[in-house]
Amino acid sequence: MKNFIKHIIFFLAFILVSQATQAQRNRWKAYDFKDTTALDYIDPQYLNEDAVEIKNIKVFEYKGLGPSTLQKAVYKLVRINTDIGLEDYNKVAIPMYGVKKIVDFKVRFISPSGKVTSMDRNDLYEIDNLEGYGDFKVFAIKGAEVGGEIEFKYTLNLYPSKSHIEIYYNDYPIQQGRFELVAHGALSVYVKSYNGFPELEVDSDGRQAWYADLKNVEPLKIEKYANNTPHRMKISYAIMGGSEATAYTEWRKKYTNIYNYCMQFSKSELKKALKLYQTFPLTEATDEQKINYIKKYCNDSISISYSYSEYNLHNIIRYKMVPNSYGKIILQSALFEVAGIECEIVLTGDKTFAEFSTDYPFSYMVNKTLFYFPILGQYLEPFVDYYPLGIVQTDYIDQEGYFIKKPSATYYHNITAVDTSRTKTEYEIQLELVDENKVNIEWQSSYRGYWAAQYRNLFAYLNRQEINDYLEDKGKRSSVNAIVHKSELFNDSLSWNDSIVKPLIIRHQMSSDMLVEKGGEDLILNIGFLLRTQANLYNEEEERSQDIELKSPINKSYTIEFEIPENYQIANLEELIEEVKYTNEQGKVQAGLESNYELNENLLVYRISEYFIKSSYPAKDYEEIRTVINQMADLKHKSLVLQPIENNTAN
Amino acid sequence: MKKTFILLFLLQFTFLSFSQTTEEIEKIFPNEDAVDILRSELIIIRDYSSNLKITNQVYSKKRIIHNDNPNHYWPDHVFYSALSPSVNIEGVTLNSTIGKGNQKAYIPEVESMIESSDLYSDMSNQEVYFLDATRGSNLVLEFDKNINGPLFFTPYSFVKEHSCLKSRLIIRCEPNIILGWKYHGPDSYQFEFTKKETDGMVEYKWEMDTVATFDIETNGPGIQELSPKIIFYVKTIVRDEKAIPFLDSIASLHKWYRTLVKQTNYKSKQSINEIALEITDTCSNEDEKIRAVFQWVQRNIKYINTSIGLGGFIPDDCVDVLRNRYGDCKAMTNLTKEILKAAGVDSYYCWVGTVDLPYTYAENFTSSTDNHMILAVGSKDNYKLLDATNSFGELYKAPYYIQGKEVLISLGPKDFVIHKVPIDSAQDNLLSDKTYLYEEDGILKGRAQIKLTGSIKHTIEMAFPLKEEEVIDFIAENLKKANNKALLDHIEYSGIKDRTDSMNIAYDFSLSKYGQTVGDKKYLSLHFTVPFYDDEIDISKRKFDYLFEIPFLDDYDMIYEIPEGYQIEHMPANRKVSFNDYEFDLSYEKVGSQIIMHRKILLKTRRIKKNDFENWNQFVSELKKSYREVLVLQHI
Repeated sequence: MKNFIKHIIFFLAFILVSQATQAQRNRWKAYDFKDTTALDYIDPQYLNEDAVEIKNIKVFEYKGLGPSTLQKAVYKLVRINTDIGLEDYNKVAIPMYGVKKIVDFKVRFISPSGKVTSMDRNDLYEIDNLEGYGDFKVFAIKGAEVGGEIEFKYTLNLYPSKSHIEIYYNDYPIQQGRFELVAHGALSVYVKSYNGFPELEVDSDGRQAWYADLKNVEPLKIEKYANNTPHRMKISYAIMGGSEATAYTEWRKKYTNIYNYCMQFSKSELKKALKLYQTFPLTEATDEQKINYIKKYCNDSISISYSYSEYNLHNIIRYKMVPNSYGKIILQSALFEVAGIECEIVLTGDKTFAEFSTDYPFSYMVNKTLFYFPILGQYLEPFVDYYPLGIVQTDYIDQEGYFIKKPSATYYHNITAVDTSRTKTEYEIQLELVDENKVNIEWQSSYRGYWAAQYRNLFAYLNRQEINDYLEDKGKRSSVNAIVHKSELFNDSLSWNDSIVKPLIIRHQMSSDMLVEKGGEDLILNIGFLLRTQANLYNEEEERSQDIELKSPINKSYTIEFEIPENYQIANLEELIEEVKYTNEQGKVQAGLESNYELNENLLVYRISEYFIKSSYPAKDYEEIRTVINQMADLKHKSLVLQPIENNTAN
Repeated sequence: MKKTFILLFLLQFTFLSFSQTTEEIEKIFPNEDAVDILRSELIIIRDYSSNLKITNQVYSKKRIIHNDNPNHYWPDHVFYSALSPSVNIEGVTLNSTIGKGNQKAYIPEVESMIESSDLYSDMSNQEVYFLDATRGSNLVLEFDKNINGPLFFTPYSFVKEHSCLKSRLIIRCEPNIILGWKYHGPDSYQFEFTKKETDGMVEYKWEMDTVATFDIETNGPGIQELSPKIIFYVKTIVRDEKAIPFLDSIASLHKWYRTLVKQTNYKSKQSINEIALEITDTCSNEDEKIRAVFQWVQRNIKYINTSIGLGGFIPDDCVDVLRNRYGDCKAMTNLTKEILKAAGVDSYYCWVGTVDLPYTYAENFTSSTDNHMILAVGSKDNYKLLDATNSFGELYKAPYYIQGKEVLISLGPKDFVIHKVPIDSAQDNLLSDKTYLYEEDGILKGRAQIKLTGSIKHTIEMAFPLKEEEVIDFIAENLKKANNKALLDHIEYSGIKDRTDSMNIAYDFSLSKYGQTVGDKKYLSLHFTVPFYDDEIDISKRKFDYLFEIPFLDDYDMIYEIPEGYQIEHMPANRKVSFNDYEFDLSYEKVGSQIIMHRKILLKTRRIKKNDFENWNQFVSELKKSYREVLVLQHI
């Protein structure tokens, strides 16, 4: 009997403990619709906003690692103040990528008079593979009207991932918010807050839980010449299972994997790679040409087959097949080695999405692998066609990267842009004044480096007609309504023995009747209308919060030749001389505009040079950079005033 | 088996008939990257006593002339809706050089298609990627279309994306099914029509040879207007020796539409009655009631479209629309009608096509002739239209995208009338700009007063922001002074989104970098806006008429205060050009210390016909000359 009671006690204790444990899970149940249908309090500073997120709660709950479930719960209470707010909130889309199941879903609208219109999951419409972006569930808020509140909550079971970044894309203020992370069974959790997101605090009940409260969060002020997304408030985390797991160990694992597969080859593998390499026509080639040839070979000759699973170099060479693009990296690396070219592998991420740092083991950061050649000081995109040695996609310039080198070492460095002498744009323009209405224009654009790569990549996807249409549109230059008589394209593809300095050339023959104005006998030639000027910052006088970002360093020049008509002279030549520079605290010139002219009898040669040596400048330099940018934008207003030469009656 | 037989038969027929080489085809269509050797649809209609079963087999065979894709892919696609889904989609490259035999196309997961105003739509896009498509390759695409019923037939277009050597529509139906058809499209196309009996069925066949495709031109007519097509319909069904009219006239179409609107509004209308009372409580006559109800719907019901199957044709229940506070055009029309009815006002369902649908109801009395639903009030010879989807439109004002179209007004279960939506006159769509300009401390400054009416007002106010800090940017961008170096200040505006027909905006501005000062001369253009400057037509290339969305009047006055110490050296000449459908009148005069420029540009038409291009170009050329002429001032 005693034993029987003891078992009962133990059994009851077990039940109680289980219940308590269960209560600690399913954090999403702690948040639900408010009890009242009265409208909530709005901070007076938000009364003129189109909408306000009165409450914004997100809960991520891991129920253990491995195949267990991750639950994400979202609760929002939104006040709608205007039609614009209504337009923005009356349709909601839930991306279904990574979602196993919708656990809970409810929505209601509370009108200004307190009337409630409720919705449930029967009001969800399912959209499969929306234009290739994946599945969505969408719903419209029923009963929505200005002055009311939308309240919705949904909980999703997700396929768990070890790390995640939650970006607050709020376009409206968040009056009160909360972020919770619960990680049952996890032994190491790393979190990082960005751009004003508060640091997570440990939940007081001692569970593996953290939280942060938000208050009066303003939407990001969208600024011109900025990568806005990286400056949005965000929180990221990584969950690891082992007690020794740290950021260092996670990156070490990543490095070890890559090193073992991509940088450490057996003698027989190198022998096989050498045999392949010796079939390449590279005996007289420079290192740059070798690199480009190897990349082209790997991309053109090796197929990706998702049903093939070999990363073995022997079989890659033999069967010319890889399971994914990672396999092409292996082959390229081996071929660089047998070619005697030292290389490193760089892991990095898109700077327009998030900053990159190896302090935190966030795998989402890594979405790009590059090669770096330290002797040449150049980077290589291993897969992207038309990006030869030296040029990487602009989203990775000035981003940090994790460099892996031999023998077995890593370091952390900034990915530098190619020197601007190798990435430049040159415009050569010849103008002929046919009569007081019409100007003939011969225009040659030569692109090297980043712009050339982007154009070549674009043209590779267009057919002939589309290329012709594109060139014609490019020639039209909407502000002058040019008629394009002829367009030509040269060097739109690159061979392996070409470098990034091989220019892509576009030529146009055009005419326009909107370039010349007439005032009595005088003529005004508005050459500024032809120029591809920078977008201005005339009205952007407020203090800057974000760094100034350009897509890439700029090195652009114009050479404009104009045959001055007989019996005319240019009355405002001095306006063609300009110089504005921005020099940093170290005395180094960072950006500038310079222009000058030469007059050879009746031939005017007008030269303009614009440059930014980097693609990114700190916010504190905003006013200086803005001055340069606006001076560049002012080129739009450049004109030549032609006045008749007065007859000299002394003769 | 049957399908394979048909495929083999068609392939054989194709081989026998189309042995042209790629070079020969390239000579016929020199600018094409691919040409359809054969486009064919085979529709079979059988009568199963109470309903018609319809199958549609679609087939195309394409010859590749050029393929720039480095991997030799050739993309194609099949669009369809849930009402007429396309199934059994197959593509194949014949006699591929890879491996042996034919190469099957890669068909990825189908994609949903949603417009920005849709919450949900059942439109799908199935991409088809042909492999090993090189010059000379033949690509075959075929699929079946399940058509829900003969009321959902859409016209057959003889040509689509690529030019075609032979395009063919075959309809086989049982002898008791009588088909009607019409050709719609340019007169320049020729086709062959045959009708015969075969295997106990009646076969109708339309064939067109060597059909060139066309590019849609900027400001040009749409594909619906330009493409040659056959509109077909089941006219009559004979059962038990009785001829039952099916879709043989506008009356039949109307009858069907009435059955659709009968399938809604089953719920208790208590909420409708309550809202009707609330809205019209203080109204003293019918007109006031109509205004109050219409504007209430405009303000409180958002346009959100959910097109699903037959729901794309049946209006949502008015009680649901009221509760949901959103709906599409049918839903909003239905709700407006029911609220008016509860308020004691009669109104009528109307169907209309937008301007891109080029049909009259007499030409096309199938459901493809219209795509919008509105309401009418009033009586014979005085119908007034209510389009609540026009969120800020004035009462009885038809939006520009249905002006000039026919409206089918349903007056009762069997009674209807066709009414033409009037087109605004140019004067109804006014852009008036009165600007006073002066110089202060070397900077050009001024005050602008702008008035917009009609559809011009509507276009601007739809995008007008409500946030103060965004208004400046919006005005600078859309009504900008001269260039974007204008700084705006003291902005006042009225009439925005108030459902009246005019709005006013006034603001101060200062312009740096405008005009030139060289030595003792100043040069200044008083044309801060330049309508039509890029509308000159290249007659050598242009194939089709040139279209504008709305006729309008641009009434522009500039008063420029001559700076102290300056006198006029040159004032541009007055100009006036007048043609039937467009004209401008420009004059300058000096009045005291001011120069006053008056400019009126009047576009009375929405369509410049091809035979009027030379006149139009002359008009634009003269206008551009006037824009190029600047004022010259000389320092005294």
